[in-house]
Amino acid sequence: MNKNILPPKLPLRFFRWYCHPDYREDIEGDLMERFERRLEGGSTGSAKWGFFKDVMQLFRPGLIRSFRGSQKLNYIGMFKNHFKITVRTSIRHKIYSAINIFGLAAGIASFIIIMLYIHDESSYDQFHSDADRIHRVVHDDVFKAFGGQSRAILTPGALKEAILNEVPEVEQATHFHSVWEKTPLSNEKYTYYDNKFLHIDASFFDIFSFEFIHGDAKSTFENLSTIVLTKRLANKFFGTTDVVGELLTFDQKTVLKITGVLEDIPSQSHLQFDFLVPGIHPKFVNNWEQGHMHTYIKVRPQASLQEIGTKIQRLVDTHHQNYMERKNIQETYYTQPLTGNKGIHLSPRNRELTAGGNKRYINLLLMAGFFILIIAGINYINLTTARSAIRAREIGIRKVVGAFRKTLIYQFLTESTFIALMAGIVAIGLTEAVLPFFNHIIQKKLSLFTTGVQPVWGFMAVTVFVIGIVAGIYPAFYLSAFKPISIFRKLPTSKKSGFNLRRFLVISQFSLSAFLTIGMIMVQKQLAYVQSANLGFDEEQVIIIRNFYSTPNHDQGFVVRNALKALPGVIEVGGALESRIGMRHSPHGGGLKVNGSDRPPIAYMSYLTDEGFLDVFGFKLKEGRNFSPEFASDLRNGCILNETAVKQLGIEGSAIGQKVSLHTKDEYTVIGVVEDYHAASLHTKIAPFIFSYFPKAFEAAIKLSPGEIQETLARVEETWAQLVPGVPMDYYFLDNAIDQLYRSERNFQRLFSVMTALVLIIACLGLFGLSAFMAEQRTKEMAVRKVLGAPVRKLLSLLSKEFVILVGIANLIAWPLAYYTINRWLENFAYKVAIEWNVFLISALLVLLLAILTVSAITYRTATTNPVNSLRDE
Amino acid sequence: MSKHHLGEFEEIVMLTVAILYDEAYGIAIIDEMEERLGRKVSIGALQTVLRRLEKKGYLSSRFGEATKMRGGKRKRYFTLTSYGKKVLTAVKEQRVGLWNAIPKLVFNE
Repeated sequence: MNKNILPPKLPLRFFRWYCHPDYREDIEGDLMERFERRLEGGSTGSAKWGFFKDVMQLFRPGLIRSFRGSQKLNYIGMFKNHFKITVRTSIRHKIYSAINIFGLAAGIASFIIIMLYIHDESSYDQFHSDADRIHRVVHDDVFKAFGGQSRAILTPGALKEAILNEVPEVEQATHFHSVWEKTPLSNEKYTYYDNKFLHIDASFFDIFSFEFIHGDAKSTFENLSTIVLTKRLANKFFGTTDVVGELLTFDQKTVLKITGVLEDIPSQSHLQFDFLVPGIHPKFVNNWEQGHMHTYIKVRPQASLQEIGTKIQRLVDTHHQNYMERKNIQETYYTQPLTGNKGIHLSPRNRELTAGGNKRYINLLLMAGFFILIIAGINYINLTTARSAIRAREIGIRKVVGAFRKTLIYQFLTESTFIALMAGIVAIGLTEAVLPFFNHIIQKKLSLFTTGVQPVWGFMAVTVFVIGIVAGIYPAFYLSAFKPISIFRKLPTSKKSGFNLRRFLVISQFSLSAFLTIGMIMVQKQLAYVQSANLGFDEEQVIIIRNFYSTPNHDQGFVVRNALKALPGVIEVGGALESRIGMRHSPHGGGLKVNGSDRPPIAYMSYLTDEGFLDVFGFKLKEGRNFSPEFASDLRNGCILNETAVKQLGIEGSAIGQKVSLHTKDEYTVIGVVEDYHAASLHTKIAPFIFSYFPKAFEAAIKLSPGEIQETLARVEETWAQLVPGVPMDYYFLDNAIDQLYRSERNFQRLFSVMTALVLIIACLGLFGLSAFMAEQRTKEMAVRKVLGAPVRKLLSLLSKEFVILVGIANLIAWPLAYYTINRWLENFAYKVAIEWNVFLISALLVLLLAILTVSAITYRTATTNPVNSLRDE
Repeated sequence: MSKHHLGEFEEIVMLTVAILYDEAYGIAIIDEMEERLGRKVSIGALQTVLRRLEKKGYLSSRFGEATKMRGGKRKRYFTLTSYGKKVLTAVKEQRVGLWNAIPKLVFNE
């Protein structure tokens, strides 16, 4: 009867599953016996429990079957073997492995750096909470009178309230404005003097998440005589950050109480400021006239931006119509996201507060990064297939023993993935090693180990595996197709097909290299041209005093100017309403025309300057004369035009004496014409300029004589301190400022050069490996030739000829591609260098020379070995 | 010495296998040990030691005949190999040597 009671099923199944098959039968028998005995001695339940306990106690390392290498379950066993073989072959052929790993590592490392750079560029402004719901209200303007266009950001002050009231999709809105003039902020110890501050309204902190370290937003808006500082500025004023309740004098008249101190503004913020002053200028509030405000909105989740744009446009059409009609402007309103590709940093518009990034450069860098990866991958493919003979016997034996082709494919994929993985690890080290140098040249703080770069790590892991698979897939199929019979009978293993593909790959590698080299040379040339082309004026050794209007009154302004001019080392002093020559500007919206002419008015830029100004900047008068205090009429209506203005106005013959008028109805008589110069970036064309006479300098430009700049500067500052007591002189070097203007160009140029060098190095590395292998294979042939009397020169050319021809073809292929691409790229610039044929020749020579050097370094050794050494073991 | 190292439990198991001579299979060994030494022996501990001793070459095993008992599973009988015997003897001699080296005084007290 007892025998009908069976032991519990689950423990038994568990036991059968884990137990070593050799022990299964007898131990199971023992278990049964104990179970049967327990049944006789006691209850069924306790017997079952005892059985369960026994099974658990038997679950021990000595009795459990091996879970590795089980034939049907998985491929772990084979994988282990593949892994072992990979390590062994890598170690046996150290040079080739090193070439493979280093090449891939350099490729991956540069890719990582580019990814970090792109990640940095594209993660601007993401620190705000709900950053993806924050948008800026912007508008595209068309000046109908003369077809000018502007991508504007400033909006009427009444727009914010209107949006909040009438666009339900908008959850919150804020607006702020900056001021153009530098404004002093002072206490008894320190005076800040700049324009990096914003006038904000009460909802500023509802949208932007700048972090308070002391104080809070609420107390800031309780009354309006308050100010919020950044940590940096608080430290400057007080040497400490806990300064809530202290007082500062703003603009020399208003006393403001500090109600908050903010953490320093992250570098990845498009808004950069030193302090915030609550309170919008009353003139701007409820004003539907010209835009002065930066308006930001936070939209409700899932709101349609299109809809919001339409509604805002409707508001503008209703209230702003008057202004648009009067000024003859068509303004099209929509929203721009805060973050991302179309975000404020990567898609900057006109008159941004801070310089933005540049998508175009990012794309080019990404392209270079991909090229490097491709070239490194090709190295792997070439070296592996070329050296297939070495693996042929292994493949043959594996097949004879019963390996499926699939298994072999897995093997070679394992191998390539392993190499890629090693390369990935080396690449991380490499990246860490070069990043400091890199950060130095591009003035960023990139790092692999900061928070927020996890996407880069993820991308890197994906890249490594993709590289492993993609580079390994062809060799895997190629090698696994070998027929054992032909391997062992030493028949040539389908030599031809592999060889053609190899040629093709070498050609593509060097095409890419040549392409990038040409690209690099052209980028260098263009950017050098942009940066140092004849700007038409001389910005060297010019300092600009920004707060020249601090000189108490106009008469004394002249005194200061004359005093400065008298100093040794000062060549000329010129004043202007604002002398930001060379900085970004956009043309004035109004029109300039010749009186009585029926041509449409043209857009223009105007400078109010004095007579020293033209000399400071080395403007060359083409005709007429400079301003002069001796002609009273100059002050009334004298003006000087530049060549472009003359050309666009359609003035033929001499322009002197022509009457021109501005949209402001002012009439001027042309007294002189100067040669064109480039203001702002060379991406933009020269605008027509009109200079009119303005002797009450707000800013001053001082031309210093070369040589003893520091001494002269000290003298200037001393004189300033005597004549304008209490106000520090605020100045900058114009060439530095211009340099800053081209910073993104320069960064890109440096990055791109490094990438090109890397591409060349990696491609040559591959060529090195390939030619080394070829030379090695032909050692005996060379020895025989030598014995028969061939000179070394002949042998060298025999060994190198093929590669040189391939590289030559590669260059020819690269030329049209490069020509086309560079042409496209240059279209972005208003002023561009010509593409000259010698650039192609130089790059071809460079690539060819590098290739020849690489190949002959190897072949020379083969060609010069004593034939005895290579023939004796036959 | 280290060559012949046996753990205490291993030694007891081998001795028990020797005692049972031709009838030493899992359950019998447990019964014998529990009876003689009065201590609980878990099946897991015993089986692990048995396999280990077999792997070391101290024991050898063979299958018996299948019966209706035990769910029709065969028993595995263990016997000492001559190497196992040698090791056991060596261990015993070591013990005896140690006993002999104890001064008579120690136990006479």
